[in-house]
Amino acid sequence: MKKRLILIAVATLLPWLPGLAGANPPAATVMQETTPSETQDEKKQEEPPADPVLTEFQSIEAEFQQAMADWQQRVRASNVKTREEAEPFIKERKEFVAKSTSKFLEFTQKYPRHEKAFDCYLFVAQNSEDASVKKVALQKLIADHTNHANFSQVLLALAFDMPSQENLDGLQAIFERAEDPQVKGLAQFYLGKSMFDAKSNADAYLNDESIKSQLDPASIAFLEKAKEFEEADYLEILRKAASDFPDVDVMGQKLRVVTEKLLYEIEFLSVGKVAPEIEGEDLDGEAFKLSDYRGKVVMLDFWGDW
Amino acid sequence: MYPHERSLVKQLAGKPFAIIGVNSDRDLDVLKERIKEENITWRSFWCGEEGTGGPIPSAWNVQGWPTIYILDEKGVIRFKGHGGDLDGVIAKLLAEMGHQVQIKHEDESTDDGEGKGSDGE
Repeated sequence: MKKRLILIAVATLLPWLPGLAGANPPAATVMQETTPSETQDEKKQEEPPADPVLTEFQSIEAEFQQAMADWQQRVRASNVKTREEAEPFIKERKEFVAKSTSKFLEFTQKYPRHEKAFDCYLFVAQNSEDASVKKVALQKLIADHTNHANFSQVLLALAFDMPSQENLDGLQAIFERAEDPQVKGLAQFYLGKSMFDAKSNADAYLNDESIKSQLDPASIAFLEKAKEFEEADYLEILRKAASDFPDVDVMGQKLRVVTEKLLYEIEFLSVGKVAPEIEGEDLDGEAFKLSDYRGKVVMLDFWGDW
Repeated sequence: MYPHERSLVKQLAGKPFAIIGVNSDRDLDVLKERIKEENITWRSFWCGEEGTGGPIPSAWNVQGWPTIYILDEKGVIRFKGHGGDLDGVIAKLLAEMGHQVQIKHEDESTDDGEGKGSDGE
């Protein structure tokens, strides 16, 4: 484990270089829609000529993929270890992402009804660092595309973003508009979970100057509000999700199972609850209990040297 | 991580404070060597040979390592996270018990128990 946080569910080794992990590069979803050029050539012989608008989209996409691939290669070669060293790379990435964002948005303005408009908005929702642009893209996706085959990508973008009022409203809107139970179930689950996460983290974020100083006034106002969320409200949302959508897939597990674990966490392992007992042995094999330490402030540290 | 915790144990000796680890290393012999090398001065539960999949982390639904809980003297969870201003929380809870403390660390490493990703990314 050394000095890294390893999330078993989501692995990102260098969060300030999000394109580097490679496991889920932003272009991945966009790539799924693309046919490799060889197959396209074969297709040309059987079908009407290639859609020039599609070709236009593909060239914007290819430009981004190329820029990303070049950048990833150079980052790896440079062996970046600190945030300071990463700064020029972060700046560069912002620039080519912003450039591609403009081009994708231009495409949506020229061809609002084309099927690739979804991919353009998804790219913007996942990658743009301009909050207002991102918001517009999300609104378009929710208003017009909840039935798209890849719509769950939008859900995930909302679910794993920093909790905000817009993200909660977005999840609620998706839940109401979507017809696919997979999408509805996920939206309801992540709505409940996001409310719990926001409330859980609100105090920690607001009391930590190094985090608070990076938040804008709207985020701070939202976190203040989140502190007052009623546990009963998000418990009800999660229980409904588990009973109405038990078999929906949540990152490889059934929603019902994931929700049970989350409900247990909310009920017994959240701030304000009396910690469950631990009975076990120390490294010398001596039995002891967590409750042996009542009367003291205890820092309970789940750690490993690995 | 270790320097920060060693420092806390030292500074708060004599105060009603304890660090209790829940260790997920699978090889106990190797671990004991490392305990000596790193001068790890606080007690830990051992998760057993299943490590991160052992009964204690499973019961506590631990998904990220490290995960830190801070409990007050009644056993109530007052903080849960992966890093952040642990010193501030600990000082506040000790103050609630009437113990005013100033927590300062020498030779602070850049990694004060914070994993990367603990800033919300």
